[in-house]
Amino acid sequence: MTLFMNKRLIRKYRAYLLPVVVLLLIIWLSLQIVKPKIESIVRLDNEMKLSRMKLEVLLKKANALSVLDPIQLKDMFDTLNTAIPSDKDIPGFMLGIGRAAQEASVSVGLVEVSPGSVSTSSADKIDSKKSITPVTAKVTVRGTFANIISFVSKITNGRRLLKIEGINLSGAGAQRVNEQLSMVFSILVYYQPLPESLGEISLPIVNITDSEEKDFLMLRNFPYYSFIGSQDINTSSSSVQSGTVPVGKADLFNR
Amino acid sequence: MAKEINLLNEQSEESGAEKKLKQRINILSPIILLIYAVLVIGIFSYSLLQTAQASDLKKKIKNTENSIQQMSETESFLRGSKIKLAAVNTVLAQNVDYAQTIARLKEITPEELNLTAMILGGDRSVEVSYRVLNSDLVAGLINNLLNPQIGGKYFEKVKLKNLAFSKDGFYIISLTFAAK
Repeated sequence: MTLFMNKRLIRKYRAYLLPVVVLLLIIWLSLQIVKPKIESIVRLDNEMKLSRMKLEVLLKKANALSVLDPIQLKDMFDTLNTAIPSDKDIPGFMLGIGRAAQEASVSVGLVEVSPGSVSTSSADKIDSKKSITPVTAKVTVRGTFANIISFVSKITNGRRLLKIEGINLSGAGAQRVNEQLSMVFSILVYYQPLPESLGEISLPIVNITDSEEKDFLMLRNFPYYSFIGSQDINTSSSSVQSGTVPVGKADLFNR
Repeated sequence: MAKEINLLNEQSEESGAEKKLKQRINILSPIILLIYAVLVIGIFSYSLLQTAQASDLKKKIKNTENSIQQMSETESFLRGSKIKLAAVNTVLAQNVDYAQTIARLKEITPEELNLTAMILGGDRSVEVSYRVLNSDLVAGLINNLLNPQIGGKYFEKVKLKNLAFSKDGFYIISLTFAAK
């Protein structure tokens, strides 16, 4: 009886078999294949939107870079690096002070610098986040008042940028013309380490502004009282060339 | 018996409506499946096309990145210059023109005054000490400093720090003020 009933039911609903199979197939396909595919399409579409934006930025950057003159930029950077070097360059500063003093006809009595670690590249980890770092120096100069003023003018208008924090003149007696005075200068000598990498390639480039160009042109005309740009030092005859000084002192306290 | 006949009639009427429905469903089902299949094929085709576009885009990005990489030296010079120029600007803005301050100080100082000490600060502060023979000269210097037409143009916040009279008959005067 039950078998008979089942056969009747099957016969009755056999015609619905195809639509049901189709429906189930559609549901299964939708869940297993179509839905993940659509999700991946949406995801890829979002990625492509970002990629298109990135490409646009990169193309803009590439175009901007291609019109720049690397030789001119190198020249600019080299000049600026003499104004604010990437390392402390204390010897350069001391030589600069000496040369400016020589030109101003004053004598340098004492140059006291506390540079800390001598080389930023070898001794100190460069902190590129720091904007600009000064090294404090004290310079004692002797000369006539007029010559000392000329010295002040020379070092403040020199290429190597520094800031005179204070000038101290003390112990001057009744001033006579061309009397030798002694002045102590507290000077901040600046250096600025550069970042170790250029960062993200998609970072946009920012061109030199007009006011920056103006600063650069002004700075370029400032005299550079240091090793480079001054008279060449004959390194071939120098006895302090690396590796040429005889080393291996037996007794450190003996002359 | 009559009831049975009625029942048979109703059954045969239902079968007719059902038959129509079954027919329609049986025709529509493959059509829907076909449409769905076309839709799926369309989705897959779009996906393939999109993948190709994405790969093309990636290639373009890579090429552009390579060309930027080739110009990295130019970029490093530019970026380095920008960093240095910002620092230059900061330092230049902080600089005090000491030569000018001293020249202005000379301008307001009476001839008979003798400068014995001078401290110029980076914050534009000025401290000067003079040795003077008479008190009129001290008054003259202070008047010059305070006069808006003479010293007042260049200096402000004038304070008399110290005034002493030494055994040898000299006044020793110390003044502090700030350069404008």
